[in-house]
Amino acid sequence: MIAGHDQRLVRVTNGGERFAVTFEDGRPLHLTEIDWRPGLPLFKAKLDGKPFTASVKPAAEGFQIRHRAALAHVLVLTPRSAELHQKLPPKQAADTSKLILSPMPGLVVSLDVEPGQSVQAGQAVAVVEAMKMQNIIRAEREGVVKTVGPKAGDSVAADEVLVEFA
Amino acid sequence: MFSKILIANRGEIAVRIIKTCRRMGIATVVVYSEADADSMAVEMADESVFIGGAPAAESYLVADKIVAACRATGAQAVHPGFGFLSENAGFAKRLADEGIVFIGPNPRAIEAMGDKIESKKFAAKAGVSTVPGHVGEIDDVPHALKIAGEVGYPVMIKASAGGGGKGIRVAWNEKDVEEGFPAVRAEAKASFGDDRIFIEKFIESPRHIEIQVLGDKHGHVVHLFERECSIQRRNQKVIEEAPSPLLDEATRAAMGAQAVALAQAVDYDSAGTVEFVAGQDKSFYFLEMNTRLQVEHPVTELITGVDLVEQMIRVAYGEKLGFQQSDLSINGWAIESRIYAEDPYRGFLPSIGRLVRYSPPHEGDAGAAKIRNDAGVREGDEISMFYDPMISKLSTWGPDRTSAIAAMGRALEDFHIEGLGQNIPFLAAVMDQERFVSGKLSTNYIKDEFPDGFHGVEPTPFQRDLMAAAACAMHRRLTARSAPQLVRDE
Repeated sequence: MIAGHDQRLVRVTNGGERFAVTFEDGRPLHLTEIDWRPGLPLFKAKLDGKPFTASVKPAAEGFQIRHRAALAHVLVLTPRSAELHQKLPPKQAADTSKLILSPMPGLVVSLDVEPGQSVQAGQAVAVVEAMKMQNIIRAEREGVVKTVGPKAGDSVAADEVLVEFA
Repeated sequence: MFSKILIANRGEIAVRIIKTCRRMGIATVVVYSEADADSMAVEMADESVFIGGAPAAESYLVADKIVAACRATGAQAVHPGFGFLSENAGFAKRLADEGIVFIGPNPRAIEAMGDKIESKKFAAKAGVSTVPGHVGEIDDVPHALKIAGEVGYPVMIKASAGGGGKGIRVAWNEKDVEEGFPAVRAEAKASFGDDRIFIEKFIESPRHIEIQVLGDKHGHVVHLFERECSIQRRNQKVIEEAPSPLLDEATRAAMGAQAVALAQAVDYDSAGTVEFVAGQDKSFYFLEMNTRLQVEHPVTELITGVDLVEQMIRVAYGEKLGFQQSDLSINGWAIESRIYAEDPYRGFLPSIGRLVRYSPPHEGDAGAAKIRNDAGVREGDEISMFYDPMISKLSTWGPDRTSAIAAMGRALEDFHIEGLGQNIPFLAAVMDQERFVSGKLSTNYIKDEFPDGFHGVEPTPFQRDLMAAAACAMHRRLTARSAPQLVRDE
């Protein structure tokens, strides 16, 4: 994810082999030897003569693009949609302070609390087994258990809710 | 030459050994566990023998089953690869008793080098430099000060029974010793019930440099220069290279000569590795000797042009080495990245599962560079919880270090894996780091550069441009509309 917002007006011209993107300030970028079809996970091309390969995946209104260690969600919009997009309230990160999430995918060996029970910070609430290792999941804060997600024997995904506090 | 060899291993190293055997016209047998019944190694080998359950203790570690597989197939020799039974002197002896050739060193060499104390004794006798220090009990603070002064600061005060970071203190001066010695002694007594203390030289920002050696049964030993394996995470090597950016010709020659002397001291007669810890000032001290093929052997093969597996087979058969030290030289630079099934964004947690997509870069020439990928998996295969979670070893060669690094960066871009977490973005981040490019390595590198773990990197201006351009191009292909477009990165 690129921190902060970077919005750029570009004009796109498509001339046979070459694909040009011109920024608002007039700076042109030339893509040549593009090797990509819809559905392919790798986008290969040369940018101003320099070869690169990016991992690409369609995402809401655009693409998720990774080049080496840099990952970004890039939206491609008409000027009008971009203007409207600006007016959208920023997405709030989900409030996870009342949740205990599984830190890893694995098998629930035991779930040691039940709804209505009060739990102290640091208390073990569950044991999740992954890679043959049992991991004790502890509460990070105190609270009263509202619901428990999985039961012993269930498989859980990473970030799946184990316990919700009231 | 042998007509049939059994490979007592799995995964990429089994595939690697099969490739050399094929080239030499030797038939191959692989053994396999329940988890590896459909593996690439089984598919490639001429014959395969099922030897038991998925846990290694029920299959790859059971000497009886390996011997029985040799009997059943008529294999004349066993290549153990690395791990499993490769450094088990008892297994090597057992094969000899059964009249089967072990493709590795003689059992006495394995035994001598397998014991930490014994190997240090051999090293000292062979004139190999060991970490300066005082072995034996230290009575009190004045005694400790005297020893620290002799060893030279900084020193490490260590509990004999210490481990896990407990009972270790670094002292930079006399005051640190006066405070540290009683503290470590008290901690050692409390934690281990053993207050014996020793003092040795502390090596700041150490580097891991190892020498590849190769011996035959006729008393010849050569070295194939060094590998640097300083990029480690929790003592697990991640990126290796050959040669080392630290060494100059004189240090390289000195390390090589000591490694050869140690190998000769134990009548070493196969491929092996003498590991050293090196200071940034090019001082170096013996750590241990690994009496087997190393995981990172491809970088040595890439710079010397020697096939180490072929040489192991030849010397095991009794051939004399076909070259001398003076015939060997370093050509260019090679880097190896270990592609692991782990999630770098989640503290490198193992991430086992199915390789839904597995598409490595093309092997062979890439401009002036070369790409090699040692793998034992295909698309659709499972990385299971039973064995090492390594997916492949990606190596690049270039005429110099800069071009080898550039080739690795590009090869990592072209490596596509889906279905499980993998460390390719992390490896790419290291290739792009100024410190890595400048060769200022240390075994603390990952701890120093990623103190809070790995969270990806901010795109560079070039990366922002390529992402914008690629997004526009893909959008255009998907929609084929023409109107001014706004690109926004979030």
